[in-house]
Amino acid sequence: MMTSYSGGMTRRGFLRAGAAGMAALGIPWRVTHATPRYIPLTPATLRLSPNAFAPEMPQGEALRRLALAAMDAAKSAGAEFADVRVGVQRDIVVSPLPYPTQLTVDVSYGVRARVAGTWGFQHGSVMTADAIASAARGAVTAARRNAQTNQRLGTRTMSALAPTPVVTGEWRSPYQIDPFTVPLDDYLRVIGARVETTARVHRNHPISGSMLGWNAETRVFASTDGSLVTQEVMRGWPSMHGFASLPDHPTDDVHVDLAIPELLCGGFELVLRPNWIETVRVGMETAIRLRELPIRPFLDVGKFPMVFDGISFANLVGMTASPALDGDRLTGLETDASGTTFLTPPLDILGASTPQFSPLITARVDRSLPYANATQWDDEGVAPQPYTLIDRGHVVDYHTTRETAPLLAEWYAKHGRPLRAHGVAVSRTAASVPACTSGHLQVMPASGPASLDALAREIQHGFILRGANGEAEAGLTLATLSGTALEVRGGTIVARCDDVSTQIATKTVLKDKLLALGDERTSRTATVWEEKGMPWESIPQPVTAPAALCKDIDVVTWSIRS
Amino acid sequence: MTAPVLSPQALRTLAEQILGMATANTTVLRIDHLATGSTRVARGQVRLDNAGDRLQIELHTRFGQRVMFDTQFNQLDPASVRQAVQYAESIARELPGDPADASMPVTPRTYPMNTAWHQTTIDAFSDARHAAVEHVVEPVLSVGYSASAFIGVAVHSRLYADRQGILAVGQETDSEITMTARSSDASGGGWAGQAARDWNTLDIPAISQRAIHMAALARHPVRFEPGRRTVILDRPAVAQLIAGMGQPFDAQGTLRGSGPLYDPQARRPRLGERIIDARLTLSSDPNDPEGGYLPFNGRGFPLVPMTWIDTGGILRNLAYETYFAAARGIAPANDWPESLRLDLAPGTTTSTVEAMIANCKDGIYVNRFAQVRGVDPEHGVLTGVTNGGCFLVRDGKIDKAITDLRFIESPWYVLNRVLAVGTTARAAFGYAPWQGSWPIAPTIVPPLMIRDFNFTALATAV
Repeated sequence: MMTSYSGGMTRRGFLRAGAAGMAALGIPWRVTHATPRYIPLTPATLRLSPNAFAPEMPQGEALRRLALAAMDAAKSAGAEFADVRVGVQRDIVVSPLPYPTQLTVDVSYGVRARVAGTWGFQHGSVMTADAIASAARGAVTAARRNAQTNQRLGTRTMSALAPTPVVTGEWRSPYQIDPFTVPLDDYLRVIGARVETTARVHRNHPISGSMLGWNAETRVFASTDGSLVTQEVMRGWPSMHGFASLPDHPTDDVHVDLAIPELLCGGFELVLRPNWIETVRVGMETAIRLRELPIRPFLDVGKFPMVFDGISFANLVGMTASPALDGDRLTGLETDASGTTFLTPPLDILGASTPQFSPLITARVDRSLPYANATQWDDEGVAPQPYTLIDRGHVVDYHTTRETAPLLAEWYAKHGRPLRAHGVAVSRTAASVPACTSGHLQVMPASGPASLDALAREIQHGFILRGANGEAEAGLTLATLSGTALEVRGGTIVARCDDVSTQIATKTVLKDKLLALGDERTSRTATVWEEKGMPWESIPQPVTAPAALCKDIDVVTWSIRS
Repeated sequence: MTAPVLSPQALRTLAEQILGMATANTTVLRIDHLATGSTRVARGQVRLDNAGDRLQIELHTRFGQRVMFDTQFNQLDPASVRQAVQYAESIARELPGDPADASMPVTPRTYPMNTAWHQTTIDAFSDARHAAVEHVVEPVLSVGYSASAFIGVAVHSRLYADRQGILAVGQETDSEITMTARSSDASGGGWAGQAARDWNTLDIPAISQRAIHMAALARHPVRFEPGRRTVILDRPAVAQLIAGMGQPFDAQGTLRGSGPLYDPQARRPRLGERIIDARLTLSSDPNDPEGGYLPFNGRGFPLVPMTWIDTGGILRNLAYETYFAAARGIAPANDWPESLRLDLAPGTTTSTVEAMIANCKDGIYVNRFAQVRGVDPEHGVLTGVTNGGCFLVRDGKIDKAITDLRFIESPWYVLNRVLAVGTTARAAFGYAPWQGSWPIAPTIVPPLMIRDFNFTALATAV
């Protein structure tokens, strides 16, 4: 088996560091599935922080020198344009003892060079000026070879990159307490408080996520245009996410809805909020109440009204409408990878008199929010500015990078708007190719009061779907979404249903079938992990959305016993 | 060309250096070094060449019966290595004891040979890969179609070593070319791909020709009602279905009473029972000429040739992961397999896709599945969508292209509804994050003709 290391800590990685990861590390199964034991720390350990004996890390100045060496080499080799990302990442995952504390340090770079509208990219981890300069020259050579191939094939190349101002400076994401200086004992106290809270609510298993993790990265961006920026970002996984279940029925579970996103910018203060434990308690109590509803085997497939909770609707929009407006898909870059889009050709879509989505949907993008993708400059050196993507159902923009923004030049000119990228380019690690993302998409909630219960009261016979996630087909016209399904009759929840899933025809569900949105109280932020490219990399993209009431949702069952 | 990863000798030297610095009585070292080179083509234009390597060094450190501390780093210079070892030991020395520690006995280990390394693939990191781009794309453009493609090569080195004297080193190579061709009127898309450990065994012209053929056939698809249908699944479709079948062989889950290999009525694993069509077997072998892999797992234990499902469709073995086996006092017998060969039992009559179509009165031919994901691990139920060629078969011929369809199925059920079986070969996956990270472990499968395959919805994208 081959494995590749993606660097950094993904949600999967974080979860894998839980039960499965512990098994992989040699902790017997019976231990991983038992209630965590607490081993008293030694006096020395009480004071121990992850940084206590940490090796020296390359500092910003050293990274900047490497970045500039790469740009000099790319220019000398004849690149029309080149940029580079050089980064140092540290990840810490602390679990209840006896599970090992894990610290990961990853140092890497990626150089991108452009010749005649095509890119060469080289990445590595040998942090010397010679090595990075060699990679830069290699990227130029590869781009030049691509350009020659294109010439022989007689193919049209991409337009020039969208202009962007030269930027210099430094930025640090706001945080108060550096988690790498926090004693391990404090981590374990927080974890213990959470687990005990869930245990007090019910004899149920504690929900997953009883470990804590942070990722700190210093990343330098430089380009041959003269940009040079240094950013330090601290991200944490403060939330407990998962499902409540009984030990005897681990697969019979209910999603625990907590109004705390799983991935946020910030330090250790993220888990010291005074209302944290109360939020966990309320979420658990609700989940337990729903867990104890009667279970009804579901066989009568058909079309039903459905309320999607905030997480479910955020995931639905995040895996359908949002990637359908992704510039990489527009250019065909993802055709042999994650897929295409039904919202093309862009100029027809943007100028259409008929809305593509329900007039209830207005969606905006704002990367300044303190979530996974918060940044001052994106991985192309573009300062993100908030933009409206969908205005009362009309598509008014696309997610664009410097390469894809020129596709919309005519539209921008017609509306007197400058041609610029939106600042949504993201490299998963410094060694990753920048990809177009959705920044942080927000679906605006209803302005009037509309709670989840109020939406459910509109249903005679249908469902509430909680905590659902799923998958969309390559063209994004059809998605499947499954989670905890609650059967509603006469506006009241009467049962949980096993094996229920939905099949969402994107174009109709987000248009004609959307009846109402919930208010601000129902809004939740889901982290949608989009796998882009070949080889693919998983990029976190926060999506915030309210609950939604839809009619005629195609409800199916996983029960296919034969 | 020299492989762009640490050689076995370099890995051994590094292990000696790191373990030589270590003082903890338990120090486990694992190194993974992966180098890749790839080219992406979009709409006939070479858009990106991406090359480089990623190194991961894991150090697991424990003093006596204290709790283990894990660290990972990726710098090889002596100062960084020394700092990492000292850092890990400084923390590990201070951690408390773990009274429930389950230490592993050190047992003699021998590793079967394997053939997953090919110099031809290493050589393709330079000229051959770049030359292939043109050979793949040009035929598609010459018929006026649009081409999107991926051409990739990979080489991976792995080392496992510990202070008890266990040392395992291995290297493997892989390559994959995939292509989506679109008809000139953009009404049809066809996917084709090949994957091989040995770059020289890829038939590059065949990839383009198949993508063109599929795209031409796929023009102007019509909507077709989903439902239970007879299907002819070509190898890429079968591979997407069965690639995840390895995990249920994990004895931990099965003995806990979950998964498709556990009989809830009899309250025991279904060992010795027929669980799939009697004509099929399922196995994995590090020395498989098409699907070989490194002969040791991440903990340095040997991965030996295993027959999981034997002739007659009989469940023969479960996978006892190293520590689980030790905890139960039995010999470890492989991790659950990620590389699988779905083969024909001896004496089975083989068919071909053409013959399956000729023998099909009313059914659907599926070239490939995409966006496959598990939805019910208890029964191995998956959902996914046809991709890159889906056709109605009527009266022994391909009748017309139909829009893509979503399915909900379990391979454990599908492999009990087999009508015909073709010959086996490794299948390419293309974009398949649901199967892990690229490159995907080899999966060797035949095309299959299946009755009552469960399609549940149609997708309208081309």
